[in-house]
Amino acid sequence: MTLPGGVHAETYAQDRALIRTPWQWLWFAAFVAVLLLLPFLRPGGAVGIATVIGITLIAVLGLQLTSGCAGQINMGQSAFMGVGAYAAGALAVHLHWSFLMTIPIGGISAAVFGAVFGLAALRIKGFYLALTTIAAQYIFTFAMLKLPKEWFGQSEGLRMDPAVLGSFAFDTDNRIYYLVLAFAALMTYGAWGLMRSRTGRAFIAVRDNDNAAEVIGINVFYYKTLAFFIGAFYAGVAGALWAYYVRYVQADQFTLWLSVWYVGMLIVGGMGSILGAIVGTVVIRLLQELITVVGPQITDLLPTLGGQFVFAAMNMLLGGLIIVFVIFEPRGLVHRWNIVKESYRIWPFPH
Amino acid sequence: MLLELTNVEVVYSDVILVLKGVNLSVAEGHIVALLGANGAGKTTTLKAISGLLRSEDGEVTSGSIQFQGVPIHTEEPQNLVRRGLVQVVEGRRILPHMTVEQNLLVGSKVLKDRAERRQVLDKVYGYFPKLVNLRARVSGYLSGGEQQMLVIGRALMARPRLILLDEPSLGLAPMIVTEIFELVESLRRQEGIAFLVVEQNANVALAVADHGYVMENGRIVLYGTGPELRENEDIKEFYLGMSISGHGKSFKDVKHYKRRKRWLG
Amino acid sequence: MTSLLSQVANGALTGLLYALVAMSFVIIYRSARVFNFAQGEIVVVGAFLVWTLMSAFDLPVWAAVPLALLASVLLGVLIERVILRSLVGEELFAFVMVTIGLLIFIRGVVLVAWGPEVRFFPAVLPMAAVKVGALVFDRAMVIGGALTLVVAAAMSWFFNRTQLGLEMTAVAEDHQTALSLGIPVTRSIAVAWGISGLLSTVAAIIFLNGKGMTFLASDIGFAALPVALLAGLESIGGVVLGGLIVGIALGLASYFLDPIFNGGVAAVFPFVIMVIVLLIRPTGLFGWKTIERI
Repeated sequence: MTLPGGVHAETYAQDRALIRTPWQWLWFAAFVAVLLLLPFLRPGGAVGIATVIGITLIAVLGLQLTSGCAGQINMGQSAFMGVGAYAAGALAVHLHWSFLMTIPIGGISAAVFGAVFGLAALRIKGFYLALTTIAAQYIFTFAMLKLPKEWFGQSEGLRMDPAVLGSFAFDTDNRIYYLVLAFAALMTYGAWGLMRSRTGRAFIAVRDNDNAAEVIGINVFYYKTLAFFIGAFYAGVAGALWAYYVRYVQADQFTLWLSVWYVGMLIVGGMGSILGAIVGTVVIRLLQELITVVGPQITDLLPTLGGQFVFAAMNMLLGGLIIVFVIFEPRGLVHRWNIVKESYRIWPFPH
Repeated sequence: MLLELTNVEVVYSDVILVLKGVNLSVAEGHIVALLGANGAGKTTTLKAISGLLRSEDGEVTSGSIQFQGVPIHTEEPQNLVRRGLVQVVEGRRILPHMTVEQNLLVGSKVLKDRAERRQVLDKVYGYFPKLVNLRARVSGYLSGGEQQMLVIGRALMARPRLILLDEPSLGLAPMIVTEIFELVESLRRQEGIAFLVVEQNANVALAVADHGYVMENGRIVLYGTGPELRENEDIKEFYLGMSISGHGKSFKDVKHYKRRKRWLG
Repeated sequence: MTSLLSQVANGALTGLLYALVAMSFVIIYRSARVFNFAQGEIVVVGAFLVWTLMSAFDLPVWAAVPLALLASVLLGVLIERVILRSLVGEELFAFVMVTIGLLIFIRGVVLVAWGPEVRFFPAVLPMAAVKVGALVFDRAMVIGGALTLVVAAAMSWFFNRTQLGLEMTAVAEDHQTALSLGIPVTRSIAVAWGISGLLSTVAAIIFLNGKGMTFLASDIGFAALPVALLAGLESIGGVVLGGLIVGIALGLASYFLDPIFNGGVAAVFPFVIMVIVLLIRPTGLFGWKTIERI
């Protein structure tokens, strides 16, 4: 991270700080204020969208840790999310545990499931690994639909009561929004800390060259497993929150297609950075929302196109976007933004 | 001249200037050695000639490269092979999952038909009798020396006029290195093939070379016939590892070396 | 007993169909070192091309099928020229991502062009069932199975015996070495994409002959994955064997396990076999073992 001129760290505490300049503080405070006040500023639809973005963000952050940082391609994030949702759902429905218990346990269940693929990653590499994680999807769907009905409800899924804290129920859009916001903030902070830690650096070493990392004393086996464990934990937490948000869990909600989208969000935002995960998630989700809103209006104007045209166009737009990004901006939007920022700071001298 | 480089400059990724005006020529049927330290630009020179530079984001920005009197620095590698210019890339790049014979046949891209391929194949086997028994063997399991024979044989399959040979001695036993250079010498004698050989092992290379060039920092700093270079005091000292007085090196020599290098570069 | 035999035999035929789709993965992977996630979508495009030419334009089979095959070859070459060409030398991740982008994009194009409705795929191949003793087979699948064997033999011969095939194998081994030997690498890759497109459409015809189809037929791309991985991404002959193994295992699994699980074993079982095999042999049963150096 390069800083504006004149900003220098004089102590370790300063060097470790995430926010360095008064302007950064101001922007950060404004951002937090908008997030906190969103239900009052724009009640209704915006809150729902923000909730979905928050949940998606947690899953994509996890994918960023597994794929972007540790370099282990993972196409099973949606299945891991489903495991978290089912685990939390089953505990809440059958044992009536509090969400304070079920959400972390949902995360851990997913993490354990994910870690199995981390074990595989030691031997299976590259495309083979990417394709192996697809197996997670098929195994997940099969298991949830076939395990005894008393556990996960098979094709009927699980219906859930709202999360309850004492006598306070998270049963409205606004309330669940704050719950998701709190988790999203916590998980983002956690991911940020992890990336700057010894573990994060080990992940990057494993990503860049796992054999070389092994030679300099990094336990590759441990870190690959850990990368899947943590990434899937994030997915599990996201899944559990999703369960409490829609209050219904069913295997069809967690498709391979969703995993594909998560990878797409990472590409557009930028691999390997937390900010990239945030930007990618927000941009793609908002685009999807935009198309959902604008789409019907277009079909009203041009009825010949038909309803599905708009959604098909969305696939074309976003698929095209991913291709364009990989070809022209493989490091994502955040990288481009940094370049713009940098050239503004040092203008008019280009080097 | 078979190959002539005039003032060639090469830039990688639009910013890194690697060759700073190289002049070099190879006559028909000659063996020319290109010596120099690591990073002097020897391999880059070969890649500039063979056209492989472009696959690594490098570019000839000025000067000219002529092969048989025709400028070639914008040619695709496949057309150069067709004209009789083949590079044997550094590091014995065999195709490890293919058999020895398949490796050789892959090199015969430019030949017309099956009959012609057979004919050239037999000739190559004539030069490398060892490979005949190994023809059905998967090449990844060959020894280093055999692999080096195989890549040279593969280059011969295109019936070249000039072979660019990049560090054939890399990681091989001295006896095998001698064997390879004897082979180079006999190929030149019997087939009239010219060689431009990049080598760290100046001793063996100069033993067979008609001419030699020494590169430093992207420039040619010394030129001479093989025997001349072998007798040159600087070469003796810097590349053949003999100090003038025949004793071990002292700090004074190192300083001398640096001063000489500055003067040469 | 007959029912078990029938399950296994039909499983083997299904396995051979998967092997045909898997072959279209493998041919691209062999030359370009790219795993094309969008292969299933290309199968669907091929299917819709046949459907459009026959049902919408009323062309006879002998005209429609060659035209569709030609178009799918062009589609493959087009993808290579427009998208993958500009990625030569990039990291593995870029290829994973670009073919995923392609997967989403082509699905969008298919939906825009043909919509989500169920269409009836014309009966290009005869429909009458084949009876062998008490066993009954779908004729298209039998023809398809035989075709897979023929195509595999032809491809094996092509890659190991012909000059062009050897050159393409060389490209698969090492792009730069191939380049230094005068082999036009990008042309070889384009040829591979073309062949792959062709096989995709052939697979579509066998798979969908006389049945209803939607854009979701592209799932066959993922269904064929375990076969390609089980065999290893480089081996043509291995793919056939992998297809037979997966298919027969599938038949057995359906017979013995379906009553326990109430069906649906067929979708997941190949993946289970695949994961187990990959844990033991990380590059598949017949894939090229890589020697990694630091």
